[in-house]
Amino acid sequence: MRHLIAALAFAGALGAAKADEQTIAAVVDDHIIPAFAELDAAADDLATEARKDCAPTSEPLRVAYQSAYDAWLGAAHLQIGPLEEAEFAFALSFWPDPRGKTAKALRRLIAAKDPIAGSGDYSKVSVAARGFLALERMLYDDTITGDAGYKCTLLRAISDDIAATADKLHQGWLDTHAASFKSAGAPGNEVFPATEDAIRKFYTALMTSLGFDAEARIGRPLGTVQKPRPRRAEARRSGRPLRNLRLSIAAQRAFAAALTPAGQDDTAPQVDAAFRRVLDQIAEVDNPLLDGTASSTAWLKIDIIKQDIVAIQVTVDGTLGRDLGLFVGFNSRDGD
Amino acid sequence: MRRRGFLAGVAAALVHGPRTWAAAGSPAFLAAARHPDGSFWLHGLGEDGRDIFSIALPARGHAAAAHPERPEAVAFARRPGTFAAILDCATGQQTAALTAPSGRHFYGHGAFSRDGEILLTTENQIETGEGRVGLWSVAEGYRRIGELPSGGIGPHDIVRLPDDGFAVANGGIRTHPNTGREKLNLDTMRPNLAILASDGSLLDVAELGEDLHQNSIRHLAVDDAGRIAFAMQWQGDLYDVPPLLGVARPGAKPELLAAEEIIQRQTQGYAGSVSFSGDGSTIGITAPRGNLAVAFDVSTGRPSQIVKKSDICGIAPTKLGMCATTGTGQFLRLEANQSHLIRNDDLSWDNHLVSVQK
Repeated sequence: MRHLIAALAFAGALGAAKADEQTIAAVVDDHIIPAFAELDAAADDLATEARKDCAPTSEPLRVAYQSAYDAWLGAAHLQIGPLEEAEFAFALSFWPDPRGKTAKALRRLIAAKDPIAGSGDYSKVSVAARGFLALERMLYDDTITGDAGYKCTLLRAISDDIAATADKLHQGWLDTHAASFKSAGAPGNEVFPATEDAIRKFYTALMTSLGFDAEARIGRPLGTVQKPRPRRAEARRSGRPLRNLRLSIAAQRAFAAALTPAGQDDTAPQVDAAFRRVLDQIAEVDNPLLDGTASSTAWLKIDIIKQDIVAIQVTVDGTLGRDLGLFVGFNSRDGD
Repeated sequence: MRRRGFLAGVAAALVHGPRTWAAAGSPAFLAAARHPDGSFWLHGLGEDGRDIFSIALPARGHAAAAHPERPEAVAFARRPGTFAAILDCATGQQTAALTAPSGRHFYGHGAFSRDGEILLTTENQIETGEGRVGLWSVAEGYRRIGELPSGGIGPHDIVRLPDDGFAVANGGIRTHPNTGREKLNLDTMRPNLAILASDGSLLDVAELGEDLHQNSIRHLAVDDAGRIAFAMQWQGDLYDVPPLLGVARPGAKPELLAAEEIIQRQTQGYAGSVSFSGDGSTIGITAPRGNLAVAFDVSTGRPSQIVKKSDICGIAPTKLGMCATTGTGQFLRLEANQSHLIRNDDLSWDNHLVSVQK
């Protein structure tokens, strides 16, 4: 009898590992790889447009910037694998930036006509001068002034660098990290000794990213009802604060769906409903800059979105986290 | 040198029986953990991470304090707790309990005098918010025998120094049990590192600059040379990216250590624990919110190792380097700039990994 129970328990553990493997494969193949492929392609288009016409007012260039930034929001929540490895995440998105380091770094480069911009080695500069927020300044901030020829070189260098980074991220997943995640639990996999370790990595990324949306993307411009802080909104110069939030939430909705194990009938609709509520609120709020200064009603509408993002975390924790048997943040949430 | 009697240890010979940590299997560390069934345990661990003993705890604790000789551990409740259990690690039995005096609560850490006669506990004087250090007589079954000013508000960690004095991390944050852990004075907080002489008198209080007044000094480590490493938790704008580690010698101005911005950013403004390496060459801080630990080379002040692990928090010295624990059940060794996974269990290691003094 004891042998039978042990055998059943062993079979159960094997079944759980098998289910984990399917989940990991679905997340990697159907969610992560396509997101980075799209970013890679959109960033290439951006670099191409910048080469054709580097005028900040160029409409095709601005469209390419917006599209590539959109694609980044489809992948930015995946702070695992190559994004976690080096400075890639900051190199694409140096934000929040309360001390205005991006503008300072760009002004310094322009004033000195620093030859690094034309060297093909732009990844050596400070992360503050790289990525979408730096490019946004070059395109939409008319206080970034200086020699037009150098500014053109700089804008192209930033665009090329974004494309190179996006390529490295995509290749990193294809070459190494997809296999590393998909072989979780296999002998010799030291990064993920058990399938659960890979699942936890995904889950932690989802929770971290939801927290960033609530605390930074919406929390920073929200401020307090007495003192909203719209100038702290992400990518406000190119009109993207609400758009970034919407795209981020939509991407995480897909991520959460891919992460939900098959056979959990209650979880998928509950989690999806929590995401949908936020996306519905976003669709209704006519406030692309997340500017709560107009009235307390305007502020309150933004605050409601924030509360509903926190509610997603609670829902995910109580459903998906429970299904996956994960207890995340034992220490990080204890706060002591 | 004039000393008050309480640390002089006149009665030491009478109370020190033959029982030492050897009777509990000579653990190198104490660490609390949550088990899969939701119960909480205090584990005694070898330097190689193996379990030497485990004792059930009534609830989740914060830190433990190890008696320097007797196999006794003090397990503190999480703040704002008023309870701590004295555990005999050889028998697994609770032998005494501390109850904070009325109008006081514990802040979660404690330290013993070198002779093992006195336990010192960080406490809040609730009415005034002033930090206190409670004094308990070990020989008298951990009877409350007095208290001292901690030199600031919100004392959290306390460690004994090689000269038998103590360092106290006054986090600067005022709380009140009525409002749990709500921070009541973020605009005016002034954390400090206070140094107490072996007689308990306040020798020195080091504050950081005005721009860092919201950097709560919370956790401490000390090396044989008397250098004090302090880990901080930033209460200001997360993206101001302040340093989270300082090193001080009594009397000297603290020196702050920070990694490059992209690493500092990942720490999320929150260091959970701090430790010197066994050889004193590096200092490690853990950043459970950023899921990483950073080791700094003491001679250069620059980071020498970055370890990315979910919910990493406990950290303590080993002979060669350091080891660390995570809320996901991992026990790691950080040595020669490499990290090695030693154990991976279905449990959650709690905030701190406490060295049992040898």
